[in-house]
Amino acid sequence: MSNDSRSILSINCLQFSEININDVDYIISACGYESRCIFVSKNLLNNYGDKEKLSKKSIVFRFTTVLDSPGRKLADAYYDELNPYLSIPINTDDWEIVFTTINNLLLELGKINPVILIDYSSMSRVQYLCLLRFVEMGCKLIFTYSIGLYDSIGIEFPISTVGTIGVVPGFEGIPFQGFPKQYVFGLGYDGVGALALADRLEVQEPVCFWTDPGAEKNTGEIIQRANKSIISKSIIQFSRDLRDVVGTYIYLNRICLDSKTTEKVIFVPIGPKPQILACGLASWRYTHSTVLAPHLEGGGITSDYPNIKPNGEIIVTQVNAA
Amino acid sequence: MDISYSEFGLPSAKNLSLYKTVEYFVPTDLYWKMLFSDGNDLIFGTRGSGKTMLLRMMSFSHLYKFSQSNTKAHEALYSNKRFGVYLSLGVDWYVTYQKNIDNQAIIFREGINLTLLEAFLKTLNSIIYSDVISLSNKEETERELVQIMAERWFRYIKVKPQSILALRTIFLNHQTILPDLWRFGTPPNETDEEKAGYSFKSNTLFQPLDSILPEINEILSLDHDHKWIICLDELENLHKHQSVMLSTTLRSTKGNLAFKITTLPYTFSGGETLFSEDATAVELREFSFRRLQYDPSDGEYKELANRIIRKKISSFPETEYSLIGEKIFGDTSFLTRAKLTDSSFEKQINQVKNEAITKRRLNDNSVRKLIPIWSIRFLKRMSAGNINPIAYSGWTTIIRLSDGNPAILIRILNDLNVKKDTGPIDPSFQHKVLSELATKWLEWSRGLYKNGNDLYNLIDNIGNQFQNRLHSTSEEDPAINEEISRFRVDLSVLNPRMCEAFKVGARHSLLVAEAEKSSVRYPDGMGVWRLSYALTPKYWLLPRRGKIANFASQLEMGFGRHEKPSIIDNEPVGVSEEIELIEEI
Repeated sequence: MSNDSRSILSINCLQFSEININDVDYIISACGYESRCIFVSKNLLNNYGDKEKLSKKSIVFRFTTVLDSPGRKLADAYYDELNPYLSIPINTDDWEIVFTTINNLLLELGKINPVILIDYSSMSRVQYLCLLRFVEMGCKLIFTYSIGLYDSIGIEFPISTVGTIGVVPGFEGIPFQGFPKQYVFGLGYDGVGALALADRLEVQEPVCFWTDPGAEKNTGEIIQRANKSIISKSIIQFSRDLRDVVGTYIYLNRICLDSKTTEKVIFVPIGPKPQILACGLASWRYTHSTVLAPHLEGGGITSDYPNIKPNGEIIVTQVNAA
Repeated sequence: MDISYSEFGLPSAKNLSLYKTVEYFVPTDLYWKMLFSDGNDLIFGTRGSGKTMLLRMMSFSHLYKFSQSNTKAHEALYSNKRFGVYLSLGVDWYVTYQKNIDNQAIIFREGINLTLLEAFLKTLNSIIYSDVISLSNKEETERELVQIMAERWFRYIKVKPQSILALRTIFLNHQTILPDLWRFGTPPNETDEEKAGYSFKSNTLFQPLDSILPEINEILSLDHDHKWIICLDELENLHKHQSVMLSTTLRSTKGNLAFKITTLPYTFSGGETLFSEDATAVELREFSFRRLQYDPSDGEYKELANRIIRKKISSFPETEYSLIGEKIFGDTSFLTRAKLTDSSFEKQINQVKNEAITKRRLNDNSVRKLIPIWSIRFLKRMSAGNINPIAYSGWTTIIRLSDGNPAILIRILNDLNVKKDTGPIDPSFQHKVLSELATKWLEWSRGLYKNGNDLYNLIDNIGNQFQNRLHSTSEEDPAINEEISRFRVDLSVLNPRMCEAFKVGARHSLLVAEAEKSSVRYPDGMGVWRLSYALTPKYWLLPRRGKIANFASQLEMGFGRHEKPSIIDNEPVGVSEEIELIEEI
């Protein structure tokens, strides 16, 4: 069912060079243990050269955990040097702080169609997806994602288990008791985590999709190998280009449309963030869909936090009310 | 580590259609007792024990469909008017919303009430337009009910609904608005609510429905105090403060609602409430606690297993359904399978029997109990050669390995490729599948929760210790005659992580807490535990109750005790305190 109180979205893929920093009112980013978290900001600085302007627009949310990793030290040093307009400590799942901060800034700004750049490369889904609500206030949102370089994927990836399962704020959907549930899994490298999650949710015949091409040449192959079991149980499988957020959104939107009188659609995106963003965008206008925020935690094998470096590519997705 | 190691999971009734649920359902005594009872029932059942199926089959839509083919269901619906509303407390937002606890209580209460009333309206509509109750003018009744409900439940409504469908739409809209109102993580004020068009208000859980039922009963020509059944499923998803809130409400709600609640072991005590300690001391006396766990050697479970396989093999004549399992899997004992593996075993066993009777002066009954032990020892030794093992095969063994859990049985049958027209299945294939499944159950333990490795190690440690004793190569080892398969543990003195491993194992049917003194509660302190019989092929154990050991010191496994270490005896494994009935299988 459509949620008519929400706008129809206009979604476009842009080149990074198409972003005009002069139009952007705020740049939101997160500072964490992945060294790619500064890549977008650095590139904006390189492109426009005006550090002071960038500094005044930058709002940085700094995670309060994993402070000693090499990636984090790099990021801290960069942002200390940048001296952003606001630097706010947050926990992994704090979304109210992010939402309230941006809301207050926009009220203060008082502009009719403000533009916010959200670098979600290292943010948790509850933090960047909840910002989609600002589209309803006339905001134009520019989502940027720095594609990561992963070391030893498929060999040292920790076995994951399911922790707390939550729902992304703004993407709750209506419970629709009695409706059958159609789970849509966006798969990633963590095949064991996906399987554990499917087991916890007692999923029978999911829809599965993954990125191909993805961050690496053989991403699709690795994901399919890691998720062989859950893919074999799925009723529909498809792969999408990681860079084509709009195309993925269109596919997922069709699933929502096709099932709007028959099933509740539950998105369970596990894989890369552009895939999660596409799930959020597809779910936005439907009350019969939900986006889950499951926590996958290290289970049998403990592993250090991987330092995910940028591979040099940035995916840009612009969203505003149509 | 092979990360693509296994397929997790058990079949689930959650996503079955109404038609399939009714088709697959096998009613049991517990189902009828709960359905016909006006009391509140709290059912503890492990994953796959059939909780969801049980509750869904009490809802009006399912019972109505079932009543078309079952006379008792017809009686429950048409004569006793057992009207049930099913509500699953899954991963929906009002359960998962987790921030400030005080505020969360409001969203939890409002969310459940909105969802329950919407589900209730759907049920009410079906009842009115069914032939279960006779009404002179159904449309008029609907309008009358809608008017009362809309006035009672909403502070104001701009356009008055004229039908249940219209009222349901208002509830659905409210369910959309509520989480939006909470977008800052704090409760909305009245101005915000009014702006958003949110006018529903409830004071306590279930109160909006409970308070209006006497009037609804009257309009529907039911007894004034007629009770409606509220089926609450999946309480295991609730956070602690939500459970406390629910327990408080359940203890104070005595009106026209009969609650049928299911949850996993160790997830909802029902005892902790917001009442004073003195009031809490009576602890849910108005509830019947039940444990949804079948004894795999019990006749009722065998009957259920026969019914389940009959549903899979529909080509078999209905009148002979109890013979299907035997026809497909055979039905041999461990002794027979040992003899079939190697004919020399017959001679060996006669010799051992004679020695036991003459030298050790054991009576026939004791010898009879030892035969399966000698047989499994032989079968394990033989499996080391090139022979395809058949140790774990046969219908009785399959039933036993499912350990009273219907979903495990269905998973076994699925993995054995049992289909509509399946013929006899080779015993060595049965053994292979059952052994592989046992390994999968063990691997499954890793993925169940954050510290899954604790549970894995616990199970593997216990399994290996039991295996080493049962299959000891020392001829003098008394364990040969002392089959130990259970152990006494006091959870209250274990390290919290170890305690959690036991509880997660119990929820997922990997560890079984045996009921002592016919308690239906899972032990919080001292209890007798065993491995699930589904795991026995992994360790070459017998799927039956053996002797009990005090196992505490062996179970520490590096985690250490939490407190009160002196409570547990340090008796070595094998010092049994109790000799249980050992059945021949």
